Amino acid sequence: MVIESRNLTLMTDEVLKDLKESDIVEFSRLRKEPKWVLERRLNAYRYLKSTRPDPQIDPFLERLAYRTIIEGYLAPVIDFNDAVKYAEKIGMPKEELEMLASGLSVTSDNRLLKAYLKFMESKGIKFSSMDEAVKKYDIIKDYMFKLVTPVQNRKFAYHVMLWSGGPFLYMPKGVRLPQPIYSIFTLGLEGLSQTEHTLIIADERSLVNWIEGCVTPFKMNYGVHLGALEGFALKKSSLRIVSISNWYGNVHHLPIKRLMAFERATAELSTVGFWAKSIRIAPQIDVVGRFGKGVMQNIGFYTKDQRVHASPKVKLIAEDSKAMVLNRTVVMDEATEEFRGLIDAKKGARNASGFMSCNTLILGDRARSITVPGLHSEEKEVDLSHEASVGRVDYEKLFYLELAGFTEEEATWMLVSGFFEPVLSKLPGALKEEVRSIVSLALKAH
Amino acid sequence: MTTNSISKKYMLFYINSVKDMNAWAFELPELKLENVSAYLGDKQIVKNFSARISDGELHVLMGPNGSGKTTLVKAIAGHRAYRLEGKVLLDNENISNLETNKKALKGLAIALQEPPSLEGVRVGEVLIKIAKKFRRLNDMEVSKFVKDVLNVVGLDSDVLSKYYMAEFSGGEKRKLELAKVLIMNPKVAILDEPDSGVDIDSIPRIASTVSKLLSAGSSVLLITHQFSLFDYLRPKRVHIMISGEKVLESSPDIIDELEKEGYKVVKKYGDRK
Ligand SMILES: Nc1ncnc2c1ncn2[C@@H]1O[C@H](COP(=O)(O)OP(=O)(O)OP(=O)(O)O)[C@@H](O)[C@H]1O
Ligand SMILES: [Mg+2]
Repeated sequence: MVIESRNLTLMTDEVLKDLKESDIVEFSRLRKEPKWVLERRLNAYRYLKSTRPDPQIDPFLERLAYRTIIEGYLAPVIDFNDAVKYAEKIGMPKEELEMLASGLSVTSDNRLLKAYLKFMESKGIKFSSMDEAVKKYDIIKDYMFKLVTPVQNRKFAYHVMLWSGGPFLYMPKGVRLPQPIYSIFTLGLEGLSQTEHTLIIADERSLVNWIEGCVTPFKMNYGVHLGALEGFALKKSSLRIVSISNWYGNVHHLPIKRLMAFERATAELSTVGFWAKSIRIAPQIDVVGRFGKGVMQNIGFYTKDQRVHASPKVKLIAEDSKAMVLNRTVVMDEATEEFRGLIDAKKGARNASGFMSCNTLILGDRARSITVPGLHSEEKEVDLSHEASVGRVDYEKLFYLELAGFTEEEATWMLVSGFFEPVLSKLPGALKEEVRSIVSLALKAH
Repeated sequence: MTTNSISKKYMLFYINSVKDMNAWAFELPELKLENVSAYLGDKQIVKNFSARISDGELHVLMGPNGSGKTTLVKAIAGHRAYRLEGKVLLDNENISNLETNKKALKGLAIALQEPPSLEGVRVGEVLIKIAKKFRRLNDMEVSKFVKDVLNVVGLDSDVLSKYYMAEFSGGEKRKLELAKVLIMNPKVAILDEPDSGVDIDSIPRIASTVSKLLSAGSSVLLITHQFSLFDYLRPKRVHIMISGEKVLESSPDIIDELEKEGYKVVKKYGDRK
């Protein structure tokens, strides 16, 4: 059986049948994993065997499974030289270039990386690769795969069965670090995995800003990305995640994002999505503590023949909990976007409130967007509202800018970056300028 | 002596004179409209309008609400809602069919009566980009230059971080439009009611801004309903438009009568003809 991830049309549904339980055991043994990890993998495997394939995702994931388990295809090679060349071309800021460069030398004599890790250690922050963390830290067992469970759905099950690599971050009680932590540093530790698992625990009263991904499209030698992120914002903490995705070529982007906010905590997920052949994302935040807050923001810039399905959800479970969902996307060329957001107030979420705002800007005649905002409540005293719009660039605005000497194209880009601004301006201080410049870089590069 | 005082007083003049040296040597900026008509679909809104505004002159265009003044301006600029007939000549070059932004780059600047809001776009971002397009200044000079221009029109430089138009009052919008035109260093400026909705203290400032443009060598076509402006400015010619037609072109002597009697004076002049 020849399997080539770039050529997804060669799909065969025999793949999963070829995979035996003993293959999973062997895979785990080679990785020297603790027993509980193997158990989760087996749970996932059995779940996959006992449920029906999902035609939307299985064609991608079966092949990934085969490659990972049977071919031991674990550490896809990133072509950093390409990435750096590209970064220079678009005038990436020096800091980001340096971080990229730190990924170039995976060896331990990388001074920048070493200094960074030392700084983290001095604060009591645990920051390491997941592969290492599952062996080293007991605390992991209480959190890992609690939000991304092996038996929730097939996508999760595939991830749990196949995960390898990814970063682990633990912020100790009361440690507040406003300057963002870049997960890209972990590239220097181990290279980027196709099925990485990120686990972030923000302990009580801590504050953390996390940026994963970067604007540079990495050239991957694979076709599917099935990473997952689990984040816990414990009592009175603030966990803010910015996830940027911009791929190169035919990568299908199927990330899993799950956060949980406890009492008086804020869990915030901001996604910035550029190119991927297709994006299928259903991020979720569960607000389980009183006065907890879940914020989900997305900026998307979809081009060419890109296909995007986004269904973000904030689940309000506790009294006085809050939700906010903001979506701002630009769709152009022949791209299509389907957005179905949901704020879901469960029984017990008395006095909860939520607001959803989704706006799409369509450029050109061939791009498509379907936007369906959803509000649902099982409680009476809940205040949920939404606004939505799908529109085109207003000619009066273009005319105005053309009057000032800008070409139609220049004027359009100015308006597009302005269109993203309401989301950008809501990001916390330390991240705001960072993400602003990333977005303008990506627009410039387009 | 500070650089500040130098720049405030002389920068506009200095930069204009350097940039326009060539133009100066051969011909002065001139806008000529020859039988300009503007159509909205089948409906003719502006009918055969002609005018000639040359070498640093100030002309005024007046007329009742809805007579077609703004439509004329937008059609000249190439707004796609209107079909333009006739000729628009800038320094004897027919620019009628150029794209809107090319007209601007050729030296035509327009302050709109009702500029739109640009959601999420900051004033600083726009003005600095415009300044870079129209002025030969480096990054450091450019932001100082823009601040000086804001000062000239009577805006604080803290507006640079505000969102374009959305965070502005009606009067502030007018001032911002004037700042834009000053930055563009145009051969010809058309100002569509830069005085509507501004406070009484701002009238002299608007007048002095117009004077600045004129002394920097721009020709100006000013559209207004505001007679108090003429306490400070003396136009070369006054054009009156009614129902899309130019019914009269006169010396500024007509202004007093017009203020007293309204547009019916036009009839009197017509009778005299
Ligand atoms: N895009 C448009 N759609 C519909 N009607 C229009 C449009 N543009 C102009 N008109 C009509 O053309 C006529 C002239 O309008 P215009 O705005 O040019 O008048 P104006 O002389 O500038 O008036 P004011 O002094 O009030 O500014 C009006 O009757 C107006 O309704
Ligand atoms: Mg008007």
